[in-house]
Amino acid sequence: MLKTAATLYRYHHRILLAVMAAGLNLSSHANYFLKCLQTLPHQYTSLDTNRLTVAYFCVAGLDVLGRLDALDAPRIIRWVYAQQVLPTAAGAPGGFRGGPFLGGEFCGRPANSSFDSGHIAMTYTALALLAMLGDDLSAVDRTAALALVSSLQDSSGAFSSTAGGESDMRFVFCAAAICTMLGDPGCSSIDVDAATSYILASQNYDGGIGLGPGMESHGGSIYTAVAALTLLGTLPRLPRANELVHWCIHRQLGGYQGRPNKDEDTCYSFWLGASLELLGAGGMSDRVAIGDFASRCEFKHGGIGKCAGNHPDVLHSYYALCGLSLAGWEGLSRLDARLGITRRASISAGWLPMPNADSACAECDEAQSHAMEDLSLRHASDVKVALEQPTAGYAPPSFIESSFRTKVEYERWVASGRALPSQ
Amino acid sequence: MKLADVFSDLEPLEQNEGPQPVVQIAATPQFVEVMGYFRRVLVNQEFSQRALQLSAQAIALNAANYTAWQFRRRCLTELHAASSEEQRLAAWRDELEFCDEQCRNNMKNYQVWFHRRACVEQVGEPQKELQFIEEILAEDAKNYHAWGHRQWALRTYSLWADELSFVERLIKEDLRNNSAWNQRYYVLQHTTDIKSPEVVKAEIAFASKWIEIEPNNDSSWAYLKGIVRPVGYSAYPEVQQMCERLAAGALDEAAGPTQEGDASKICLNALSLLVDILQAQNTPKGTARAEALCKQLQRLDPIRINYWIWRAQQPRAMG
Repeated sequence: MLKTAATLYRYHHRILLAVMAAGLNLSSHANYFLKCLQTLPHQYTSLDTNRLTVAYFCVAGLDVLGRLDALDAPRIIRWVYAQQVLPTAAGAPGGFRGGPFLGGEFCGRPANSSFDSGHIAMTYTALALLAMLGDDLSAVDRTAALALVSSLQDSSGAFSSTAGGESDMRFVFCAAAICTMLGDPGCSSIDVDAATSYILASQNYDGGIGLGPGMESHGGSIYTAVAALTLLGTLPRLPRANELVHWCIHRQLGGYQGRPNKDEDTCYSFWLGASLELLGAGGMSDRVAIGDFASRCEFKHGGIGKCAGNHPDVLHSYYALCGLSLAGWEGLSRLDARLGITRRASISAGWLPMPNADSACAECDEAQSHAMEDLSLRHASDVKVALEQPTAGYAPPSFIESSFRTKVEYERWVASGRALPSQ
Repeated sequence: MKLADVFSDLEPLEQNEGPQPVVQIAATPQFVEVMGYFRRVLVNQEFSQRALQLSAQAIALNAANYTAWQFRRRCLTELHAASSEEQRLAAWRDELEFCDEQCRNNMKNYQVWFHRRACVEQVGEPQKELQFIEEILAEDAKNYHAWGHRQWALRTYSLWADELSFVERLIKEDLRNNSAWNQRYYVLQHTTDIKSPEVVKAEIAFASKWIEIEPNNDSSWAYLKGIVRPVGYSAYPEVQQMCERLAAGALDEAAGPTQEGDASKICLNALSLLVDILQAQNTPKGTARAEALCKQLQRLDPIRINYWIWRAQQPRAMG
């Protein structure tokens, strides 16, 4: 009797939390992103050189909320293209700068000095922005952008932010993402083996991955590492993937923390949620706890902070919503965890195949499921068991069902024991 | 002296926002003035003392301005291309001092720490770095950038001698400081054969000591596991013995339900490592017992129920 009561209590507690989390004030967040896209107060001058990134968080946030209709897309596209660095000569590097902070004409233009150059992270966010807004990237100088990426790889295999800038794991991810976005899916513009070696060398004794070899395991560096390996096609070479899953899943306290013994922070529900999804373990998180934590970090006038009581910012607002989307919360677009944008944007840009559209997609699923076997992560069977345990009080991750067009299709998949036909 | 007087010979270069700006930042008049001259200086490639000072003002207004940092490195190099070694060193020492202040003000800024490396490489007095980082860590013992810089200085200049005692002191101050545990591994990895029985024995003793003091600490357990797993648990039965003892609270109850509130007393880390150890034995008995423990963990660690279900099904997952 006692046991039943305790279970019931837990179950009802969970349902209450579910209602709370589902009650996130989504429209207030859309307004928050729209406001930030216009003007930021002078306290934000530290973002002056990274304005493309701010625009990326706002537009991507609206995309996850399904509210891109509220934007004047051509206007933003024009502004993004104005940040393009055109090559001074054939073969010279291009890419995008973070904003108009170096002066000069308002249009994509060649560098106005040796200090005016493309930045790898800004180039990634620019391409993501253009795709989300429905641009076909035809005005991107692909050769020059890929030349930039290739010129920034150093002897360790890692990439620098700009010529002469710092190099670490973040920019390995940017390089792999840019190659994928510019139609170089095998990443032939860069040294894939060296980049992969750098990532593998950064895996630590605890199974996690740091920003570089020897550096402490960290949720952010894990995401950039795992997403990069996925895009480079070398994820199966990661030797201790299961230990990495163990590390990631143990960061969930309610929300996720970024490192052991640190506080929860909304952005890690994306960094770690996305890493787990790419490792084939997306269904393992406690989705209700993620929703509960995010709802506690909501700001009443819109926006989400890194923790309860903190002021909101665009990064945490976007990543908190991404975390909810990855956890399967309804009312949010699904994510392409590899690229940090919606699947909708990725599919329309041709970076993801149309779901269930043709045989190419079946091939894709096959490749994915092979990768999962290599990692000995048999995700499908896990989920099946999880579904059979209703007394635990945990709802099955709803996105798993929403991957299928019909209930019959879904049941057929459960019976097959195959990996989830994601991506 | 006013900026306009210092640069009276230059026309400020405006930022061009285009007809419809996106994420425009409402800049102060001071920001507009400094950046106007700074943009001009960049276009003119002016490597002068006044330009160097101007870039410091640009950094004071926005320390994330990566171009301003890049300019400073180039400017110092150009300014002292023909200087004596003494003058050049003095200039870079001043720059390192400028960096001290900037690191303290912008502890989580990537550019400033990267710039600091360049300064140390020029000045070549790396010993001082360890002292400086110690001051930064006194304010934030888990600062990721400071630890990264420290590792760079240690490996670049082989300054390992006192690092282990420094790390031990930090663990004493806060046994949950995961950065310090990571650093301990890093030092041993570079200075010893970390798989040798002597080192493994000593590190098991070290981790166990801290686990006994506080059994619910992910950092010390991850360290213990990281030390022993690569060499095999079977050669070090003391690890399993400790797990059995610390997990006893949970094991006593057999399969019965835990009362609400009791969960905090149960050492989940001990149970978790016990699952690893038993599964690694790869025997029917070990596997069966690991499976039972996974079932227990589904109940005791409900937020990770799906994970423990999966672990029960994958006895070779951590093989």
